[in-house]
Amino acid sequence: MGFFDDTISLSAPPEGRVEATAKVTGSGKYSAEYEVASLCHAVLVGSTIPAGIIKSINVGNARQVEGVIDVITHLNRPMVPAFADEAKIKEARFGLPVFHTDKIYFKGQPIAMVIAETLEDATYAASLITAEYAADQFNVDFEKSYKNAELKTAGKDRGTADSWAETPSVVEAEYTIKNEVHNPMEMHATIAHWTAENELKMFDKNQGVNNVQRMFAKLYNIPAEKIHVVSEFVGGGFGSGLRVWPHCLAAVIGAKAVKRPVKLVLTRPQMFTLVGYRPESWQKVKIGADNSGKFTGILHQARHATCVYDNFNEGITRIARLVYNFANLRTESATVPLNLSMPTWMRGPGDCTGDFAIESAIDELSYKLNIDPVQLRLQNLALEKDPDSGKKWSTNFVDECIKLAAEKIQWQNRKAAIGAISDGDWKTGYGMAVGMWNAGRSNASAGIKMLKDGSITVQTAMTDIGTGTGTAMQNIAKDATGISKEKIRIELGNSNLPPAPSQGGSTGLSSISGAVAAAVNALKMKLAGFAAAENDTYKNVVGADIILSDNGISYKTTNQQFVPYSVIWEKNNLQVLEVEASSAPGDERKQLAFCSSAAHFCMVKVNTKTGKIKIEKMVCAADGGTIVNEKAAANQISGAVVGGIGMALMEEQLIDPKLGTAIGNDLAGYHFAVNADAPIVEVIFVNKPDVNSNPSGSKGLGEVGIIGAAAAIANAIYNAIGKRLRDLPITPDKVLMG
Amino acid sequence: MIKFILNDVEIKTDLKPGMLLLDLIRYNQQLTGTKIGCREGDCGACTVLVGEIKNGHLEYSTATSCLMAIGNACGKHIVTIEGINIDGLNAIQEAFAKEGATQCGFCTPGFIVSLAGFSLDKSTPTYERSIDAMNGNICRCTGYKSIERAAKNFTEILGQRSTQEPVEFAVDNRIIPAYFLKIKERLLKLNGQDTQSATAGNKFLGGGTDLYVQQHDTMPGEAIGFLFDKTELKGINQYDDVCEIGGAATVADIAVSPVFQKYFPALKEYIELVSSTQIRNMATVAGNFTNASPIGDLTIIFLALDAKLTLNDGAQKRTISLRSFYKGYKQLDKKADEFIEKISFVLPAETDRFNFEKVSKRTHLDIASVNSAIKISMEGNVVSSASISAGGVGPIPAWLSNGSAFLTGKEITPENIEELLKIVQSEISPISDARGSEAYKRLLLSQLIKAHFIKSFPALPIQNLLHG
Repeated sequence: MGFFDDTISLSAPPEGRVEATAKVTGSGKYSAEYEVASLCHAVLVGSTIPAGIIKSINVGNARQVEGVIDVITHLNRPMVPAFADEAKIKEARFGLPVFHTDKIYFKGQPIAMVIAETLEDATYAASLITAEYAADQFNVDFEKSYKNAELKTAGKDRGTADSWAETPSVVEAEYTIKNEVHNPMEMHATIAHWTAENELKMFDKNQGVNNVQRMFAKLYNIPAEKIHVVSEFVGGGFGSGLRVWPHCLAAVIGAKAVKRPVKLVLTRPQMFTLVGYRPESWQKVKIGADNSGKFTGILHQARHATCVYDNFNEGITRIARLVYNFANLRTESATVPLNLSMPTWMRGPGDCTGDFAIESAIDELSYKLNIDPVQLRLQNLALEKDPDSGKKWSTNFVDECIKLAAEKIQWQNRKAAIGAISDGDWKTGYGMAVGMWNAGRSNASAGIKMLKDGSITVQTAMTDIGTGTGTAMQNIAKDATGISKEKIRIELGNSNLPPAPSQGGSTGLSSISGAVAAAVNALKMKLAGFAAAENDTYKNVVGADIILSDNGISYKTTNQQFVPYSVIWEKNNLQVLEVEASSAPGDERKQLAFCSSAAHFCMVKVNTKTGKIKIEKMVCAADGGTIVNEKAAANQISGAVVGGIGMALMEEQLIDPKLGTAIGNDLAGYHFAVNADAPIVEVIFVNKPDVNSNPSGSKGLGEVGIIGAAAAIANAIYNAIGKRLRDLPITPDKVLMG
Repeated sequence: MIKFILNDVEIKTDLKPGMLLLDLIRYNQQLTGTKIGCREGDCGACTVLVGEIKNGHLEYSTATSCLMAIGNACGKHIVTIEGINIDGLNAIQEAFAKEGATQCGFCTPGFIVSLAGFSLDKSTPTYERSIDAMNGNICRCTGYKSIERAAKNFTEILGQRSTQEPVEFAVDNRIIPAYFLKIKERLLKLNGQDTQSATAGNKFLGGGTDLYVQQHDTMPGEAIGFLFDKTELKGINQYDDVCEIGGAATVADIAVSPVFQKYFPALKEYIELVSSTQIRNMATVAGNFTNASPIGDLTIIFLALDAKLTLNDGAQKRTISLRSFYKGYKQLDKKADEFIEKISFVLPAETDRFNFEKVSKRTHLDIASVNSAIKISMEGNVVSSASISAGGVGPIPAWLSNGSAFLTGKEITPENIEELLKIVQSEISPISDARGSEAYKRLLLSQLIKAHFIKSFPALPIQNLLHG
């Protein structure tokens, strides 16, 4: 059965996504929902101190609970080969070597795991485990620590640092953003099953099955093909599934220890400390312009938090180097190690953070110069070439994004004067910002299986975390083959299928579209090989000349030199025709620069009495090359924009500096936008192909929908009430007291 | 033995009545379409329909199964996403599929069940109501826009319902499967039997929306005294100028109560700021009082209304004022064996003003940073009595006795309001926490009190009280 097969009979498949039926009926199986024989349940116990050494762990009471099979700690865990000694632990580059040392790096770090017959037994037994520690000094206070982290140059300087500092208009300001947590709706979960001594099967929530496979091959020193990772339905990721996290290894260690399949599902509070977050940051931007509004130079400094047991670098200053022409530029960065778990990439990593500071500063500069913010940006964009690499852009339509979005929100209704539009206590403001992302592409493979009836199954290991990868594959296969959508099945999210990169960084569609196109070409050539026995025309053909239909193969135009599949299958006694092909970016990536971009415009109402903020409308115009599926792409952008509202107004993971504890680590305490917070969102696409990007002409859209949204909102708030709020999230208290 | 109908199947179980419905659904019945997103009622991914016979009618509402004890499901029809699947896609599912309103898909079953609840509600099916029905469902992928479009398209189908019974219409229009037509009969038959296991205990449980969050690990095993379905604790009634609310009446009951709608014209605005549809369907007013949160929205409203509570220990009753119910942080004037049987208060007279204000970090589905309510009676231009309450400004929900006393006998002038604010500031003790700093909470309460006057006395020249 295929991954997205319907368990419910349908006379005709519904419009929309390939897996829609499974999702709307609740029949799609997510990682924690597989029934595996003799499955047992694991629950993690977290440390109660943020730094120190475990002196002893009392597991006696837990072991006596009925149904408990084992309790794993660093004292009794089966050795993970890659952690055999301290030197190897670093080499493994796994981050936290869970259960392998007595060291505590952050509060909530797993120190023990109860494995029991039922989740209830495991949960109860876990509550009985206590530990004694030799506590160390710890530091979780970014605000008090960041100044001590020495800034270092990040990237090559342009021009000089000081030549522009005295230009007529200079804005210099600091910006801070609190920790943000991905919080996909599905909690991370792993079912680990050692099916033989050195053979591992996992049902796991992640964004890249091959990545998980490679990591466990390295950790256990076994061949990758002995590890089978299944991630068919993934309930969101936003970056949290791009790493292999400690709970995932814990489940695998547990399964080894009890010689049974083990299921480990994180609780929502554990989602705040065990699967990454966007780290807290400080930035300073100094930007100058001459009287005409031409940017003269920029200094962008950034520091962000990281953990003490590994390093993570966001690349916050990257965006300063990308969007605009700055003759003089300097970017500096530093990381601040804290006793917290490891941060990771979260939707629009680095750029999302950096963009907020830069686009806020440009807005401030526009008021200083008395130049419309739209105009100021248009006259400074680097549209010809990537200012950093010097390579010509393959395509860069950020200017069109700005113009399209300005028209849609009716920018002419904006008043340059602060608070000029008001209705009682409510002031209306308009703001805008742009976002950009490097439109990457990686090597990827896809396979096709064809049956006699002309139906095909297109396969890849790539996951679909909700972005619509499967649907895009179906669209691309349909266009490339000519076979109707109803006859195209999709299989994905399984390491037994042709390998593919992780789904992240907006590279999924670019990478897989090349692979699907290559596989279709391989299918055509293979069919042509068989057809040549029936019709000489097919003896020396290229894929581009071959047209497929639901029933057979044709040459150049439909039904010309037609050979039915039935003939090919019968004469060659075929059951299934299988092809696999891979596709990689070529020289074009060496010669050209690639970017996706977006312009975000916001209309906001701010209540001067209560500090409440109500976003009325968001407009996002985006350049993602050719839009393969407009509805899916627009939905993707809408979701990212509303994610940007969360970033701007709500999302913050607070840490108690005295205790090192995450505060409000549940969905009651950590706020992202609910439906009532979501304004009118209008999405427009430039929709022009980037022919160098990949065969579909598309460029990734996953990130640009959020990069710039927060700055547009903050800029609109300034236009409404004249308060320049540089600390995210902008909660009512900051509006009232700022 | 606990008995209820789960989808098309009658459940008879000896499982502990405190067990959560979500666990029974997923682990006991292996119906994994109902998702777990938070286990605290915040996300709605585990939403189910709850059907019960009320006044001879089969009525459906929605609930988050993660906070619902199976003891509260007795004699009812519980419906999961699997229970509304038909041959092919149902009309809600079709609308979702068509609009791409499912992305990662994890929240989707919850949204669809919420809309199914909307389709079975006898109120006129408007687009606005369809959106309200999903206000307890959160999504991290879509930004809700595609979901709104799906709801809009689906509501158009419901628009053709006219006078037909919602269940019948929904079956006829491929919204729910045909077995729903027999449910009323089956429930009536079931309700003739003993559906609840004989349980008693001093751990009283109303809707469970707070207890199962606060005491998640221990509640399932407790000896529970179930209050939620006790007929004698239901209902909201008016006797002359007094309103009586049963100890098991829910926030949703208040929202649809003709008494409340008549006496509190802005009721809808207040209720919109109190949790979500699913939680309002479960949460009792009495429960909001007994959880003793210093910022319970309803507690603050009823403090201003000077509500009286009738406590019952099974043998004896006593009546106390809500204002004297709180003795310290989470300390109540209530013995372990007492439960709130009844809440009563004097309804506002025509010349009285009532207002409720709330500010939270997130406008909707959030706990207040500060909330406040006011009731003012006027004789001509002079305040004859005033009652101001505030939450989030001290260890207990605060009735501001000094401020209330000060206002009595005064005219509503900017000067008097400024003086009132000074007095109020001296009788509160907010602390800095995740919901705001002390200074902010002090400022915010002053702003909210100003807002009370501006909203309550639109004709008076006090509008320019509000600078910044």
